This record gives sequence, structure tokens and C-alpha cells, in this order.
Amino acid sequence: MNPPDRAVAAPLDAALVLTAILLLLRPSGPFYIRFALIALATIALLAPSIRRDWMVWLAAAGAVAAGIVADWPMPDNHIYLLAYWCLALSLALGGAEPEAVIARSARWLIGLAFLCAVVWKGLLSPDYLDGRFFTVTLLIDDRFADAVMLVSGMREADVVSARQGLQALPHGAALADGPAIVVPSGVRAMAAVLTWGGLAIETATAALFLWGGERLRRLRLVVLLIFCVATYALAPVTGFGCLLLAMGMVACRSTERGLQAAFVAGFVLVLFYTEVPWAGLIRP
Amino acid sequence: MTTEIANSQLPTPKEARSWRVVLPSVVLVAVALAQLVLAYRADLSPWKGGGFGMFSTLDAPGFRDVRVVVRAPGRSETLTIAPSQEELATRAVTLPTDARLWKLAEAVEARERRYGRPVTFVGLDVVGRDVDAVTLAVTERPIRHVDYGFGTTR
Repeated sequence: MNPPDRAVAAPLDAALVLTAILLLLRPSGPFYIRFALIALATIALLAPSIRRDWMVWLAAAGAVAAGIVADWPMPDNHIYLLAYWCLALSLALGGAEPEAVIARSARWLIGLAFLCAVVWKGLLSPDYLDGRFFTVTLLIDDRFADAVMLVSGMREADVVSARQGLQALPHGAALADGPAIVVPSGVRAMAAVLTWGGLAIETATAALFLWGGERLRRLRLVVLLIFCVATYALAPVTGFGCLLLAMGMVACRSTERGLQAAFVAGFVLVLFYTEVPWAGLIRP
Repeated sequence: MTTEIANSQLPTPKEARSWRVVLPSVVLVAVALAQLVLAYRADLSPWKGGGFGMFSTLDAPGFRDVRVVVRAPGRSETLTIAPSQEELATRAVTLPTDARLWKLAEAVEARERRYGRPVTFVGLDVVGRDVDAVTLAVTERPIRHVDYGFGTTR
């Protein structure tokens, strides 16, 4: 039996729940903003009628935006996307056809976010396409250490040595006998795969969401799922992955229970990646 | 109800152009364009500012540094960033504006004064790191240099 409040389609309600979970687990901003977000998210999770109220999501959008202003320019990009998404939810829930509006809004937001990423990687960055970004990142970023050692066979001492070789020198200086930076072939291969694979899937995602017609709806949702499950296994930016999956959920039809379940499973998996050092567990 | 809702998920042409659909995307584009301008005109790190440039370049805040040199009569030395100044330093390297650099310089001078070490000038050098495409040798790239003078009697 439907509650007396406004009924919404299951995918939209699921997206509201997933977004509330994200706000609860990853609140951002100064402490008073985080308190407000935690309170809003908790109430939204407990009371279906409240989480379908446009004012709740307008408040959430305002709180996230206030946190961005307070911490600017430090917030990560997904915090901005979270603010846009909460605004989109508010606008959709306040209108006559929330499911249709939020599905189209999510398409635009996801497509534009990926387009911006592609522009930076493919056109503006001086060190992405030649592999420098991922080669260096794989060697110096702790978040990739387990995966690098697993794939390349490097020992921890090798990683430490490579990091020392990548320490910056003062401007114009060069060591007379500096340490040779030996990059194993496994790391170079991994960097190449991440560089071109990442660019390819982000370009495909942007194109499918911005220009793919309704006939390509399921394909773009599958591509988004693959992107999130694959990318955030190595780059544990939980907030971004979970947010994209919550946004993608609204494009599912009410009858597509398998697809909805896949998005929920993806959401749980991305959280798992961050909470459990999976690469370290399986590394010999 | 299920069929009605399922059918209602198909956007009509009017809804597709609705301001409710367009507004969040307009805000996204506006912020992304502003970030682009700041990255090129004000040395904002591409990783920040809402332009979705994260993981696109090595020029992240963590790959930038700020060098601090303090000078006073009979004194000229390079200081390391104190833990209490880490947040100010991170903000300064992310977007090295006059306001942020001044705040960091003030914090450095105040700390030196607390420890009884006079400071008349605080010099800040914000530097990035360039990685050679072939050898992966790392060199520093100057981003911004400022000198702030502080009164001798405070």
C-alpha cells in the first residue's frame, strides 16, 4: 500500500536512498556543515516521505555548496557534482514528472562531467597522453602501491627507491650522479593501459550520455557500471564512484530490477574497495 | 501505478527542455569554465575548482611545494612548514593568490615572533614539479614568488 505522501518510481527512490547513504558516510566541509548533512541524510533514510520532499534536497544542495565555499578551493570535484546532483533532485521532486526530469538531468550531468575530464586529459594536460602521469603516479601514490606490487612484482624496497629518485630538485639543478629511475615493464604497461583505457572509457561515457539516443540507454548504463567498478578498484575516490552509481540508478526503468540490483551491487563494491585493502590481501 | 510511473520516466520534449533539467548543468558548465580560467590565469591546480581535471596531470596540490625564507638583521634561513601551518600552505600552493600567500607569511612571522626570533621579511616560493618525459628526472618549476615585509617593532 502506498504511503499517503508522493509515490515515486523505485529507481528514483533507490537513488535518493543511495545519495543519502553517501551523504551520511562521506559528509564534507566544516564540522557544522557535516553535522547538517548527517542530520539531513539520517532523516531522509528513516522517513520516506521526507526523502521525497524537494526542500530536503534543496537544503542538502545548499549545505554542500556552503561547504565548498567555506573550504574553497580544496574540495574534490565530486563534491561539486554532489551539489549539482542534490539541486537536480530538488528540482525534479518539486515538479510534475520527477522521474522524467531527473533521468534527463542525470544524463546531462554525467555526460558533462565526463566531457570535462576528457578535455583535461586529452587536450589540456601536458603530461597525460605520453604516460608520464600514470607512470609517476603508480610509483609515488600510496593508494596504488599494493596494486603496483601485485602486477609488476616490485618489492616494497624497489618502490621506495623509485620514490626517492622522483624527489624534486631545486629549479635548474641536476644531480651529478643521480639515482637512475628504473621503471619495470609491468609498471609501464600498467601506466599505458590506465592512460589509454581510462581516456577511452571516459570518452565513450561522455559520448553515450550526451549524444546517445534512447536506444543506447542500457549500453551507457553498462559502460558507466564498468567504469565505476574498474576505476575505483584502483583509485579509491569512494565519493565519486558512489555518486555516479546513485545518479545512474535513475535511468533504470522500474521493471529493470536486474539493472537496479547491478547499480546497488556496484555501490557496495566501491565502498568495499575503500574499506578493505583488497590488493594487499591477495598480494603474495 | 507501476506502468504509469514507468511510462512517466520517458521524457517528453517539453520536459527535456525544462529549466528544471537544464539549471544544474548550466551551473556545472559555468563552474568548469571558471575553473579553466583560474587554472590558466591564477595557477589554480587543475585537480581542484570543479573542473574535473583530477587524475589528468601531475600538477596536483601534493606535487607542489612552498619554500619559506625568513630574513632579519643577521639572519637569513629557510624554514620548513610547521604542522600548524600545513593547511595554510596547502591552500596557498593549490591557488597561490596574494591573500593566501599573505596569510601564510603572517602565520610564519607570528610563529617566529612567538619563539623570540625576529623576522623582517618572509619570502615565499611556490613551485611545481616537472617530470622529464624520457628520463623521469624531476625538476622544480617556479609558479609564484612573493616577499612580504614586517615592521621591526610589533
